[in-house]
Amino acid sequence: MIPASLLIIIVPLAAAVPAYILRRWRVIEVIIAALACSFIVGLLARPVDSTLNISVFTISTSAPVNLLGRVLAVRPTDHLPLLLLFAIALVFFLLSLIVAQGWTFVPLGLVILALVSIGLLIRPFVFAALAFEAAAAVAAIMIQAERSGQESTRGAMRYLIVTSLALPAFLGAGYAITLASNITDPALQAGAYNPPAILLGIGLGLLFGALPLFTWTHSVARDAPPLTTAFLATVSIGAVTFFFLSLKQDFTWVRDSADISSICNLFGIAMLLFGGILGWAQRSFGRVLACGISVEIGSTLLLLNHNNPLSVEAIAFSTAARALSLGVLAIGMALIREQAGSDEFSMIGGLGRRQVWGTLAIAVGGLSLAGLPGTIGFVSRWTTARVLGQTDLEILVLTLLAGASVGAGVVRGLAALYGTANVMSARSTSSAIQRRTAVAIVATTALLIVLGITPGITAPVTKAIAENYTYYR
Amino acid sequence: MAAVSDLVAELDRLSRLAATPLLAALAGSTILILLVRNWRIALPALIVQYVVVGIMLARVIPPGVALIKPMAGALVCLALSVAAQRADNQRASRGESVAVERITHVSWRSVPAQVLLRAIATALVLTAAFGATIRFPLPGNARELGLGAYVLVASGILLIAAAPEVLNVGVGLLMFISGVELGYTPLEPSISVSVLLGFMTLLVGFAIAYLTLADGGVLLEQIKVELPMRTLRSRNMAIQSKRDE
Repeated sequence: MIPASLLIIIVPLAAAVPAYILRRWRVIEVIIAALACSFIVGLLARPVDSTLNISVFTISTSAPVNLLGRVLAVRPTDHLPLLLLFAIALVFFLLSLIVAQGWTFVPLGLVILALVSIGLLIRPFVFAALAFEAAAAVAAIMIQAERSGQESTRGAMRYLIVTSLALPAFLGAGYAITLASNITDPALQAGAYNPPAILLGIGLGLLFGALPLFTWTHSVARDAPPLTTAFLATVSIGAVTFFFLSLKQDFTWVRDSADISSICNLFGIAMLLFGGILGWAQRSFGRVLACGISVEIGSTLLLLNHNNPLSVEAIAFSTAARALSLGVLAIGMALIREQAGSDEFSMIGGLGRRQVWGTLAIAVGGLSLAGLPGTIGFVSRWTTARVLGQTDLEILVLTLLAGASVGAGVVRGLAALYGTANVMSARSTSSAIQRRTAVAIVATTALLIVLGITPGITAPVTKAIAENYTYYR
Repeated sequence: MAAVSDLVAELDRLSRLAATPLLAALAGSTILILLVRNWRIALPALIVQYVVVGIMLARVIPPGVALIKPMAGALVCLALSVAAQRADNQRASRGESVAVERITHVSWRSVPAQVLLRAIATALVLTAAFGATIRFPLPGNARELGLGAYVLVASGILLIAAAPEVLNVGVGLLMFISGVELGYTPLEPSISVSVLLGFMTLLVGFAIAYLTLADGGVLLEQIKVELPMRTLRSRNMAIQSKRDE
């Protein structure tokens, strides 16, 4: 019997090898990645504790696998989050067909997917932190892609440094938990869980990149190909989010800890303020995207502070909504960068009339990220508001204003796109490619709007994710 | 196999040495890396540091497992030196200053001031690390490992914060990871953690090697893609400035 947890790790890793070898043929590379992701999605779409017979092989969705003496297993709580992450990755790989994102995107994206899956599957969590650190090292190469030159490495280094700083916090928390669990007196034990709670809170904050003045969002959004930024902001951050939820599920002291709650609040509000204050005033789409990601990270941290089913539903839905919004915005940005060599507002004047599909993607993706009614981003903001509004109206207003600020940044960029022409086109694309791009962008933007108008389509998945967690009952 | 078992036996023998020479070697290599930010000097010093870290780890875990650290470190330093050499070749072809020139032709105007500034920062950081070892000793019985951990973590953070070049920042990051390993291993001397931390060193080291190549302008594929974009960008900027005038 083959455990599904093994396949979840092995299949993307194995697919990364031919994807790397065949990287010059983008279509084949993307097909390989899409097949790998579809296989895992199909596997995880089956009920928990089920078996699947393929030829002579029997795959068990819940059977554990032993790696270096540690057990990896798909637990009921991880089942659907993993499905969601692989589905998001599948969408991103398909989107990369429209505009090239560098040789690193597909092969290393698959490796990152395998590593963050290890992070979700393995216990104790110290090993999960090591898996996330390994994913960050791979992500640094993915961020850098094929660019060269001084200053070009800032985003990759920042991402690697911020994630590495989280490592001692997790290792320290792991040791402190062992000490606390050896204490028999309940009163003393409760106090002994304070140091690991603080360390865990700091470690998670760093994994989220929630350090306003030293966050990776701006430098990565500036340096990395746009879809890479979107991939890290959804797949990696999504994995960390569900990792946090699984810690809440596993440890009573994590969900009851006032320290973790305070740290999440502090980092969450700081990121909201950071993104909200800067969003409207940015001068490039890359920086607007970074502000949007900061706002998303902030609101996710604030949602993680709540122990109720609605908050888990909101987290699951916002992960999917963020993926679609960022994916569409990133494709638009990539098309604009391809034409103008930059996404600075001062450099893209008049491009809106020539690059209609890129502009459409930026408008719909960017405004969805900001939470414009009629888009999936609005539904995400609305569910977030329902959770945050239960306890803290000031934070609710702050979240909505921060979203509006990002929207203002997008509108300024759109105005620049339709401003006075100052751009010479880099290259003309064939009508077949233009048609393919148009079809892909229209399909994805339509999906953003359809899911915004009828969000009930995704409700079964988000509700099922929330129901699998029992800690709030 | 015989060579590996010889290395393990040697590591075992060295781990029984007194702590002072080991700490002196660790501090010496750290000071050298912090003061001289030239990869031709820093990378050999980093290898020495990995060997010392391996010997110190062998005091608390089986020498066969502790050997992973110097082995991984040596591989990483090899990858970094290849990357740095290729980056230097690229810089030399552009007429920029390279590491070997900075050793043979020391710029006596700027170097003393730079080294003095770095020496002051290094002295402060090492003093803080020593103070932290006394005031906030790490749990576990191996106090010398605690001092080593504080020295490496603090020096790593200093290098990350102060160095502008990717290679030096990367060396700082590797020192930071070594420090974390020195601090954590006595607390949980598990083979799997040591193996995974060694793997982590390799992975981070290779990522830094790739970024070093990028920093030096070696990623040739990029030139094909990016060059027309840059030309286009500068052309667009020229149009914009003409319009502004």
